[in-house]
Amino acid sequence: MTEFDDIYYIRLVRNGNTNAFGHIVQRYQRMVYTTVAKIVETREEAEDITQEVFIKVFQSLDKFRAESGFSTWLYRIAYNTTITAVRKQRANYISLDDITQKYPDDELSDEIDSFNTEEQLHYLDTVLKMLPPEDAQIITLYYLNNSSVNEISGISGLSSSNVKVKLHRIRKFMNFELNKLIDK
Amino acid sequence: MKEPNNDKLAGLFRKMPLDNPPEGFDSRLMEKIAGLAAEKQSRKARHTQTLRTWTLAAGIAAIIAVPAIILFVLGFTFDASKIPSLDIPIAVGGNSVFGLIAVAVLMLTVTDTLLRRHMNNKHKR
Repeated sequence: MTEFDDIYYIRLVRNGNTNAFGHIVQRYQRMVYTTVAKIVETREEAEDITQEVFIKVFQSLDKFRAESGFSTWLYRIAYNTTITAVRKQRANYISLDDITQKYPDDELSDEIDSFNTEEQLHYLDTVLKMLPPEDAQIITLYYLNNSSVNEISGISGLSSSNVKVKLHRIRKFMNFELNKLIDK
Repeated sequence: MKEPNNDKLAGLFRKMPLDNPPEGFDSRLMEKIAGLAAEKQSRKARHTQTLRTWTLAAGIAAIIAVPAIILFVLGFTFDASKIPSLDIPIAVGGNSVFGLIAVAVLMLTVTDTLLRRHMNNKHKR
């Protein structure tokens, strides 16, 4: 149904009805904004990047060929735009591929339940910001947007097996870092 | 890829609310989109206008050049003295194609000037 609606509005926009783009913005802005806001430092940055994403979507709408779902196509633009924007400001990120090898395969400690939701989400935010932007987006798409491995593969351009490996490493990193924060 | 049943990380993400963009985000964005759409529209109009101008110029050139080429291929030469009624004092010697090309260039220049003036007037309006 959503895809049908998306295609309907895309057709309207292509026929010159610019206001119809507002429906697309309404549908996806919260998810795009949240994903971006989890990576950048300020709300202004998140707003700027989210605007850039939707402007690119609007400008590229003629190129959308419906080979993949519209949401996958839109998230692909969001993924690439966010990575480019964040990397311009902070070029140095440690690759999880190297460091997670030393990390134990621990699950997230049960002690997390002793904290209230606000504190839990604060910890989660802190650890998400420690991740390289690609990895932060992959894990956010997986858990928050409920995207499947195949969808993430389509969005990120990584192979499905690569996405699985990445998800495993990201989880390992996050569990370790969250446990460290809880123990403090 | 299945999540482990005791995936506490998934539980944490489930508690995470989706953020709303700052107030006025939609209107600011749609303003930019409207600006882009208008720019796109005018670019399209300019492109169409240029295409029309070139088509017109090419048409005029073809109208003049095609007969000239045909005459040249057939080896036709124009000698005014052979047409008594014209009574032109100077016979056009050599090949008539050069004369036709000169006329074509003149006509194209005139057309180009007229079109430019027309487009300038339209742009000012």
